Amino acid sequence: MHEWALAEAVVTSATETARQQKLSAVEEIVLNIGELQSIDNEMFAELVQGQLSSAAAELRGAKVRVVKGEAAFECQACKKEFSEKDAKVGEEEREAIHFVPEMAHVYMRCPACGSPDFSIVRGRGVFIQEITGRHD
Amino acid sequence: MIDPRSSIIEKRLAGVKRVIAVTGWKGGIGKSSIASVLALLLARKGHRTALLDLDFTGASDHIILGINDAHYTEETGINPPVACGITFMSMSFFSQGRAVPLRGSDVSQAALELLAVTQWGEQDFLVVDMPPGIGDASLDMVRWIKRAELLAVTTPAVLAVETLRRSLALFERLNVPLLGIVENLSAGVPSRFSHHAKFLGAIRCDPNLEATTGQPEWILKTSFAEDLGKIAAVFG
Repeated sequence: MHEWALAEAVVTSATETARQQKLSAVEEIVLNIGELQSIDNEMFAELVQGQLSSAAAELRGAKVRVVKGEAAFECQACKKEFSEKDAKVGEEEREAIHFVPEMAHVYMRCPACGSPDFSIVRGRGVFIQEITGRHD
Repeated sequence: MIDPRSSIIEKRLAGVKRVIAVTGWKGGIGKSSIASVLALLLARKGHRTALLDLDFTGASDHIILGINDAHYTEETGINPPVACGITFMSMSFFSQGRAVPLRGSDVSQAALELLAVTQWGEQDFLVVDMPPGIGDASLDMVRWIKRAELLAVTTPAVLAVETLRRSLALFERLNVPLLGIVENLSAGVPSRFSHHAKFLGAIRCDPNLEATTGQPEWILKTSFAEDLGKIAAVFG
């Protein structure tokens, strides 16, 4: 599963951030997972948690919490704002978007005017929203 | 919010010895043909070779090489298929033959996603068919893959030469290493870049190349492949 690769990116990036912030022990990593990525949040949290067990010492005790990032789009042509549900994406298309969220531009259309020219306002990608820990 | 993807790119490319970024800052100069056939030639010489088509809005490497039914697999990321002896990744695997209408920042985002999740394994060469122009995606690519060596393509046309001159100066300021300059569609007269220290050679205009599209064995018999092969010999 390609989620494993994204989880590895999260752990690598969290390690860099913890060191930049001089954290001696990371207590919680909050992830924001965009709806467009179609990732099972619980499964992804478990993947990251599993990789943390063999990560740098300061990250090993960290808890992982996931916040869902709802997807929103804005049509460049008619300025209509719409959701993923409004765009009615089929399962096969959702699979391609799952791997590369920008594929939304290939398969989705503005529900109001049919334009493929829209912007993803939010809800793509996996982000580290917050890292908290101790400095002792 | 921190985007974690760029921090893993170096690790994804850890098994790749050299990254050659084939770039042409003007459209229609044969950048994709050179990237695809260069990968083919390197693979035929016995080098472990990968090809990444980052020209998302005009992806064509799979058409040039006739890669029609290959498909990636998933494991600890996306494993690109091996076709024509080349480990190959392209947005065409996801777009299913449809147009890919991406704005500049979206091209960058999609490229970053592929770079973060693609497991290249051990490779002697990764040839990258770069996004055209000097927009977001090109600038981001050389920032993310710091050891990419530019193979700059031009033609004898004044407009292509002038665009190359300006773009070379820009990338020099960005400290991007230049592997060399190649003149495509050569008419047999000395290139305007002949005296440039990094001029690697010219590729003759080959009217037979078009008919070989999608047929790697026939491509290798063209003067295009012969000339590019001489240039590629210096890479190892």
